[in-house]
Amino acid sequence: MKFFLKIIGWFFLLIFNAFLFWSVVFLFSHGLKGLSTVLLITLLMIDFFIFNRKAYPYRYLIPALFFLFVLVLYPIYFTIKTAFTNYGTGHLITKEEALYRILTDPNFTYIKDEEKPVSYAVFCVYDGIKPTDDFLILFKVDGKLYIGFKPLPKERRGTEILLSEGKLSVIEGIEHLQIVPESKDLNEIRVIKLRDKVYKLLYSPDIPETMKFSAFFKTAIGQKHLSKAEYVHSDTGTIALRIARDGKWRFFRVERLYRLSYVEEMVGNKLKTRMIVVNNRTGRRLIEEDGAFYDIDDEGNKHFVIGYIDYVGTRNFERIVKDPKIAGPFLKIFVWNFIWASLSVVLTFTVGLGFALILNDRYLRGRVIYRTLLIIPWAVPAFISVLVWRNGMFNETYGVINKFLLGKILGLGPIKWFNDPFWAKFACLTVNTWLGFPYMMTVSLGALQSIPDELYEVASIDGANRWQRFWRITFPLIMTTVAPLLVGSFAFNFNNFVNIYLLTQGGPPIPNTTTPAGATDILISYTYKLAFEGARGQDFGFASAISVIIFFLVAGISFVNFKISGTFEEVRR
Amino acid sequence: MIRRRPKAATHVFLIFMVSIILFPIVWVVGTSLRRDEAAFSSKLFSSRLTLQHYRDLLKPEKNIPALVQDLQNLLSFSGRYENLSIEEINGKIVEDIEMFKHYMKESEERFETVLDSYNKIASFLSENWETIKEDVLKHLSDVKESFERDAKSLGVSVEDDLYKVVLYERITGQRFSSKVVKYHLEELSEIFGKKISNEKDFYEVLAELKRVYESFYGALKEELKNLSEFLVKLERDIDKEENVYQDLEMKILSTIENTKVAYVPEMRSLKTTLENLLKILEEIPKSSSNFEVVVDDSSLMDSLKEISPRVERLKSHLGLFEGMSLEDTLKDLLETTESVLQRAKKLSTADKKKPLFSDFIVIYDDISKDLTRLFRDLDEMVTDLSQKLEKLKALENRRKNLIRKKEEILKKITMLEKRLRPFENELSVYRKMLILNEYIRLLESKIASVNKISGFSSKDILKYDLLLKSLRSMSSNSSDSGLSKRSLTILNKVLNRMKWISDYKSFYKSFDRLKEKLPPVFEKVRYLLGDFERYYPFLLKLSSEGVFVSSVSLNELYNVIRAEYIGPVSGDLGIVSRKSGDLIDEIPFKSLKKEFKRIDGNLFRINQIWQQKTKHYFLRWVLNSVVVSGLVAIITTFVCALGAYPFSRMRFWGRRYGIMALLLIQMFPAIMYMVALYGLLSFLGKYIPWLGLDTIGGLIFVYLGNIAFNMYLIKGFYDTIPDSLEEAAMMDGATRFQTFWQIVIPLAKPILAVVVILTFMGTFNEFVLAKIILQDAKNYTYAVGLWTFSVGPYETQWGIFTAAALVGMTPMVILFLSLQRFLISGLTKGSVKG
Repeated sequence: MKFFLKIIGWFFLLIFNAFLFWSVVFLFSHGLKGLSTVLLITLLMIDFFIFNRKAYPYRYLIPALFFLFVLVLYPIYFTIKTAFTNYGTGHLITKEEALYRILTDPNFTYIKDEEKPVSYAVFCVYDGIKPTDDFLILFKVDGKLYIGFKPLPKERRGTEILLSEGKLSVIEGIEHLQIVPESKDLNEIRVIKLRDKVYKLLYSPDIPETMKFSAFFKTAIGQKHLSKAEYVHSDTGTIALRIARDGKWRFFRVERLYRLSYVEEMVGNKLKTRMIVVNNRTGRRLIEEDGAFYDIDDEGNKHFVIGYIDYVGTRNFERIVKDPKIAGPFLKIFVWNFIWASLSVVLTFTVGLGFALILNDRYLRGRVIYRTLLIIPWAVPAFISVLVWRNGMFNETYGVINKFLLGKILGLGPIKWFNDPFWAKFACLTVNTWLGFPYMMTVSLGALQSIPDELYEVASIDGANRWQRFWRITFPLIMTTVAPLLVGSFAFNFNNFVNIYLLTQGGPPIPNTTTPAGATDILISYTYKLAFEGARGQDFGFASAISVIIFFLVAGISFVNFKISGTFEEVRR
Repeated sequence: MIRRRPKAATHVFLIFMVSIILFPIVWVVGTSLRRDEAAFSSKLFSSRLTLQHYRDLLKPEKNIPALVQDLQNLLSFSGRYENLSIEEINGKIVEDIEMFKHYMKESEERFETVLDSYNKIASFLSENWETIKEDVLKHLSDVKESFERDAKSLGVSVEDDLYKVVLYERITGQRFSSKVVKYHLEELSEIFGKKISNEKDFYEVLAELKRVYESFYGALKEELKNLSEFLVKLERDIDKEENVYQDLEMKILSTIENTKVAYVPEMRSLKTTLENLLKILEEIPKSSSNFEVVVDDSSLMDSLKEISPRVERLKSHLGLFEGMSLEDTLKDLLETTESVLQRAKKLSTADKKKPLFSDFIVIYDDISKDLTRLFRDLDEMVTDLSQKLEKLKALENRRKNLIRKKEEILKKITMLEKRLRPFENELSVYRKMLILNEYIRLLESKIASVNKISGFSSKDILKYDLLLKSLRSMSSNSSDSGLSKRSLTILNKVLNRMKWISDYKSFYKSFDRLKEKLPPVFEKVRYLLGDFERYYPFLLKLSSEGVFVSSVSLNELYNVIRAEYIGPVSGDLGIVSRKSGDLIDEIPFKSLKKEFKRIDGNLFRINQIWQQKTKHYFLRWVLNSVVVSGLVAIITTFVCALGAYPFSRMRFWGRRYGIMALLLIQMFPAIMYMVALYGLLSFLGKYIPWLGLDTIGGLIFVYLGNIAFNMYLIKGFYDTIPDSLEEAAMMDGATRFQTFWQIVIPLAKPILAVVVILTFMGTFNEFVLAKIILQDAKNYTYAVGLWTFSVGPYETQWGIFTAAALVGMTPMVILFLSLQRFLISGLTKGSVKG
């Protein structure tokens, strides 16, 4: 039995190793060198742990290490790396990939101006009366009939097919092929028999009776199988489906728009060969600038062709400091982030401590009930509370506060909770105090209960009044236990994305800026908006640069926290 | 003891704070149960409750619009019916039609009930018209009584002169037949002791009033009026002058500007030429020559004659251009010209015979034309300019005068007003009296007209409604009139008591419209449905052959529901429903409350059957959330339980740094790496589809990175389990892993359970990563789904939003409160929320 289990274990280990090793190679070949290195290190460590008897304790850590490496360390590495690139909308693929696409992608082709469409008819196998997508296409090129088979994927990136190619052959040479009726005219042929399969006419733009299947042809065959497909034959050149000027879908002979070429250039004193991309139609070479290829038209205008991820050095960081349209808003966000975190801590702690002082009275009846009720804001998931506050309480027209509290009871005008920077910040802090005081209350209650009564008795004998007793005994004693938690709370609120984003979405927007910065934005919500919501597309590079800044800030706060809470000493033991 | 028993004040304070703090939660509960649209309601909470929102969320009904949509899909084999056979489709269509018919029947039956109730209400009210009338009359006399008391308490008499002044102000300019005059006729006859029955009498009385008015105010008021009128006129004049002034100023400026552009270059070049000429002139006397030349210098003389006066004049006007670049240029030119002219004049006849002079003449002739023209132009321009400037000065003076006058008048007006002020204070009491008297007369006339009512027809309701309107305006203008607080309360109370009549008015009006419009819709729909039932087999057959078909009757059905039900009918239905809801509380007849309730309930149900509802995947979202959170919780706990063991029990290289790393890592929220995680998943998704973006698998994978804190937590618990147990087991021959699995894990069960639940809750509550990773509405987790319920078209649909929020938060709150003890002890160790 034991032996049997051992065999299974080794077997799994073997498979695991093989899989990870394959992944490493695969990732490396696809340009994800970082991830592949991380995986390789993980793999080597795991094997070391398993084969080395001395490394026994580490074996327990294998799954945890795997997740930490892939989901924490690699992302940190990736973020730092991205901060120095232009990764973002228009720059999502590597340079090799971009070049490859320029040269092979069916989008980068052109129809020769004088070229007439190639007439064609689509035939497919019917399942009863329903057409299926098992199809053939008959082409008539230069008076000759060709048969085109269903295209097969030629280039794919994962599940995405970049290019597929269909075989094209002259009718005469194919065995077991029968055309009914035997004719050279495309418009007369109705059935093709190939071996044991029968293909019936499905669609041709020139045969009106087939129009009822035009929708089926477009969706089930055209978009699915032909949008990235090319038919190639040495006599005909490349044929591909395009939308013609009359709006119908027709086949055309197409040519590649770009080709690679080489030029020799003087670099310093040496003659160097450089690879360039040339536009076949105009004969001009493409310009490479800012991590993208640009085409030049006859008027000399630049057109964006394709972009790639490129290292830009510290440009993303320089933008934060130098670009006046970014630096100003960024500074505002930065300052507000600190104000926000500190005020959150102060407010929640003050309110929480206040309640704790009232409830820390063992003669108070129903204190358990009070405590439970006051804890509810903490118990409700934060995102739900924030949404409730935003929609029900702070809504500018319908919200309870504007409509009932200010309107009906106090008789005041409505407050622009989300359009006035001050009130938006006020709203954020209100909600956060509501959310956070129960935690502080609980913590303070715990701390209060650990203060011995004798201290107070002695103090009151010495004639200390209530105020003195609080400031001289209660407060200092509480602070010793609570201080690390306050720093922790600061760190948490520093990155309290949910509260800000769900309440105000960072708004109202700061005017005169090129980035989506808002008056209540904190760094993390700013990052999010840059990466996933920017009006001009996604700017992962810049977002990562800000992430890196947050990273250092949080690390600093954590260091302070560990120092205060004595974690360093605790771990050393 | 130092501490005293807490006072009641502490409890009051705590209860007050708790109710404020829990208000949002109470609001969520209240709003989720409301039947009306809470966002547009003027009430914070409503007594008309329903569970409909929960039904819509948890078990959405396939109501009539949904059925129509479904039939269309079935007919064209689209959506989820793509792969069904014709028989299956047929069966489903039959099912749908049955359901449709069932709904039709239900709606019609319910509408019958509604009609029945309505008739009952109408007949009851018209039977009890006397009670209503008496009620109203009683209310009115209450109000009137209170007003009369107010009038008395003002302590002034109608016969005072000041009252006459106020009265005059009020009725002067009014006709004898006008309402206002009628209100005061009685007083007038009382004051003057005679009956005023015709226009002549009225004007006599008015003249008498005027006499009093004038003797009181004297000419003061009249003067004030005149002054104000004059002031207005003056201001208009000042405006006009100002315009003229500005026009002129603009003209002058543009002239100068044009001159600068047009003449300065020419002036400069001429000046240079002239300077050269001057040099030649200076040379002439010195030069000596042997031969003489006879030169015709008449042109020079003519030119001299013409230019010199102009130069003089221009020189005297130079001040016009003071401070401008033009000034210097012109000055230079003038000076040069002048010296040339003087020199030329001084030349002796001998000099004039010298050849150099002839050179001079030739050059001078060349420029003389330009020079003459330039000076002429400049001269004309300057003359024009100086005239304009004079005008400008005059204008300025006039303006200043006007402004001074205006200030004087303003001073006078304020003085007059000051003198009038004490009277005004006194008069305001009388004004109040006047208004009160008018109110009382108005009430009297209303009472008289109510007395004439003998029924509860629409005409009578209209009368009551008008009465209510005038009462309402009395209440809203209460700050001007002398209404005491008590009267105002009585008035508002009466208004509240009678509000049901005006609500009933809009209720029956909308209901009448509804009665007209709803049955035709039912009929049409029934007819179209029959049509569809008859013909759909043919269409289905065609459709199954691949032809795209659409049924005319189905389209028409859709249109009828969209255009004839939603909008015209649903609007009135909403009003009737809402008003009957209000009337339940307001109507003073207990027996009718039941009927209104029936109307309200049935109409609400009819609307639910016919209303188009937005599609959502709420159950799917909850399921996704539970699956994700559950799997993440179990995997995380397993990984952490395993990983924490060596940290607690063994000593190995890197242990200390490992713990430090864990502590540091847990400080960074996962959203900090959002870009990286997004990139990772988008890459993975291309090769392993179920781990990509927009998949549940990918989301679970990403959540698994959050293990650092839990590992630290579990390690802390392991530390409290004594080593001796394991040592004993190992003595008995157990391997290290066996002791872990069979001794430590069972002992650590409590903390593992806590970690499972904590992780479950944490994952369930996570929003950002889910929002980034999930894109298709079907894949959303509960958190993202709830968010979509609070934005866009749902922003004001609070019913469904609050219901969804409550469904999600209740289990979380219960879990939290039951785990309080563990959470607090665990969380004080480092993690933070809030």
